[in-house]
Amino acid sequence: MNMTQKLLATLAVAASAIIGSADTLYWQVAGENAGDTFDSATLYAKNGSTSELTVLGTATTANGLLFNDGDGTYSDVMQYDGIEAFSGSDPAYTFFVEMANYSVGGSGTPATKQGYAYSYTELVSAGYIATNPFDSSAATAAAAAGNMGSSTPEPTSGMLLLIGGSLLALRRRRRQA
Amino acid sequence: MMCVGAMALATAALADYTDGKVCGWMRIDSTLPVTAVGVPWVDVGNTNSNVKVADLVKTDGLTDGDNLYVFNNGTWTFYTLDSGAWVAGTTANSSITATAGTPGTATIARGQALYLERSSYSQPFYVYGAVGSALTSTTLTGATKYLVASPKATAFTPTTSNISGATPKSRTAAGDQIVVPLTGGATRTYTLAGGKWGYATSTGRVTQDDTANYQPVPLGTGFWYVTSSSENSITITW
Repeated sequence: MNMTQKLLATLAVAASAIIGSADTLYWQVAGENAGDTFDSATLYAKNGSTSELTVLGTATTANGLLFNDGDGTYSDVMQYDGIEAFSGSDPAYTFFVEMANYSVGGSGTPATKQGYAYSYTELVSAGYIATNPFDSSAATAAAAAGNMGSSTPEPTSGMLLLIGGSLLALRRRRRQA
Repeated sequence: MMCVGAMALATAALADYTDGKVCGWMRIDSTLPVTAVGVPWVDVGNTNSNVKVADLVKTDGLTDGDNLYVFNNGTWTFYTLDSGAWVAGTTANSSITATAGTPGTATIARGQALYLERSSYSQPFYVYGAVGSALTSTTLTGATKYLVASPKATAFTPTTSNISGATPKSRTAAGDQIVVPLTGGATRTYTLAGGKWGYATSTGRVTQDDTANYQPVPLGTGFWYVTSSSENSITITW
């Protein structure tokens, strides 16, 4: 089975599991290095046809969803229920996290930092969208692994991806426990 | 065994189930095809013995082919309703890998939870058993994921006062998490951060200190407790 076939098979399984409940996208963000700080992290869904952005969630210090314990900034475990609304192919959506005032080591010049743009297929294949009605904790495991994520998307690895200092941690629910 | 029947609505606020001569039914008002169910009872006729899995969920209103799933240290065991009785599982949901259980002997303790999968799920269902002595706490160790539930007739509120041994979230560690499947099919994920348990909402983090808005685990609902190492020892005081 080649990569495309694997992805299609995964999506078919996920689609058949949605009965009676919404799929949930889980994500979290952490500074890439110790001491890195940022003021906010926002998850966007981008419409592939119009480039319109939809905010799926925002973590800030003010809303209590960003923390800094001296090792750098990180977010709570965030989630978006009903992510299947963005699963269509026409238009196809991409998903990315943008951090405001990202400062390397906490002292560098603050700048906006944008993470890797995932397709819905990548999110499902990486296990970031929860579709398994039996195991609501699968995304939690993904979040833990994500702290060691790579800098390159690896859709079939099940690992989180650490891109540009942001960690997008999600899962899918149709995966076996 | 002589016992006094007691009907407890899952949404009712009742005293803890501690009278040893009382049998009980708890109605679970779920309209989900898959429901996490807490175990509040012990075995009928065997004081404080764990209830048999095959006895816990009443079969009334269920459909042949419905399944019960028990999770223990990463392994699923399941049972199937056949001609009105729970028998060894036959065909498990494709979402999980499960082995057939032994309904004649398998038991499940208070403080744990299981999943019920129904083909027809518009109506509530009932769990049944005898009231045991008070179970005040449950200690979790030896695994990284546990499917548990409060054995009490009150909703469980995760706080630093009633959960000990938990690992907080940090930049490099996800920390311990409590994941609750909710009635509407969504989930709620509690984390320990900043010295407080709390969870994210669309408007911000709600913590244990915000008593007006901090939502407990709904009564009768099983939840996942996830920790980073099987060597961790977490005690939940119910």
